[in-house]
Amino acid sequence: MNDSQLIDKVLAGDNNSFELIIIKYQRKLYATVLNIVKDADFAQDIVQDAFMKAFEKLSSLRNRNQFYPWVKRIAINCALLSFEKNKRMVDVGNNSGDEEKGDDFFDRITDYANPEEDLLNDELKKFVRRFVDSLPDKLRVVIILREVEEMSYEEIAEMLNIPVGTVRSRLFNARQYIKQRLINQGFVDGMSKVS
Amino acid sequence: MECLKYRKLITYYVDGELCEVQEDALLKHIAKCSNCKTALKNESALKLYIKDSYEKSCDIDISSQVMAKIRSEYTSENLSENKNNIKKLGLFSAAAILMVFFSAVSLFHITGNDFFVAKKEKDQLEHFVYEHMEETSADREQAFELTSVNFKK
Repeated sequence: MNDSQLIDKVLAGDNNSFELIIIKYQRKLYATVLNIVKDADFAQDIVQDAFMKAFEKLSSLRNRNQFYPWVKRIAINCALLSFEKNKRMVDVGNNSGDEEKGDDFFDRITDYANPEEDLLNDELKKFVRRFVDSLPDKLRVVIILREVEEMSYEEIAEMLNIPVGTVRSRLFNARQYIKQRLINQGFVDGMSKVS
Repeated sequence: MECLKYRKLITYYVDGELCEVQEDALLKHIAKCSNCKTALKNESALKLYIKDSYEKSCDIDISSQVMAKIRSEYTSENLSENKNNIKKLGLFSAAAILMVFFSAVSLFHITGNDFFVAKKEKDQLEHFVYEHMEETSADREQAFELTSVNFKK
């Protein structure tokens, strides 16, 4: 059963069908919100609110096959609003210690992979994540919406209520900042030549 | 110096946000500039690293919590709606009863007044007609008498 049919059932009074929609999208939506707010409990509250709002306003959704982009928009807006109000930023990336991930890393090594390269890539990703998380909120949100959520410049501009030019400059600055920190960390030799 | 001009364009290029003209110019420059080629590779790699370093999906199940919230809120909302409807119905009934009562009272009042007024007017009219009838008949009798006198004359 597709989203459109499920939504039709919900609108006809079968509230239980909404549970199927939640089950389908909750993980993706939670990951999106968590990437923005960086706090697990806070992210969970926001996702719940977003689904509640979606349920209340379901009849206003024009294209019923576009439920996920719609609810994602609601969730990101909720996240940005609450985020501004509370500023309850907790660095989740730093909480997940290296020791905890150590076992996972060795489990993931396959026979055909180059262990050194894997180790380097894994370390690099960990640092990239840390550097992105440490960006000022304005830059961080823009880069997550662009790289992780794959939103266009126009969509980001509309969502954050800023000009497209500002989105461009924030993305550029954020990437420059991350590259600079990677160079300082000694990760990328080639970058030093061009940054 | 020329490379700096293209550095920003590289960022937009990896995002697929460059127009055709700018893209052509950038690719021509990259073909002859090894530094900018490295910058392009780094930019693409960084994009991928950022994307990969974030979770696309997390293991979580909040469906039962959300559904419980929806059920409780919508049931209580329905209950309060029913209560409101009952309240509204009661008020409407009371208003209707009062309206009927006042209509009846005012109708009775108007009808009663009309009855007395009509009765009084009727009495006066009867009196008036009676008086005039008497006068008329006396005049007529007198006139008849005179006429008959004349005839007799």
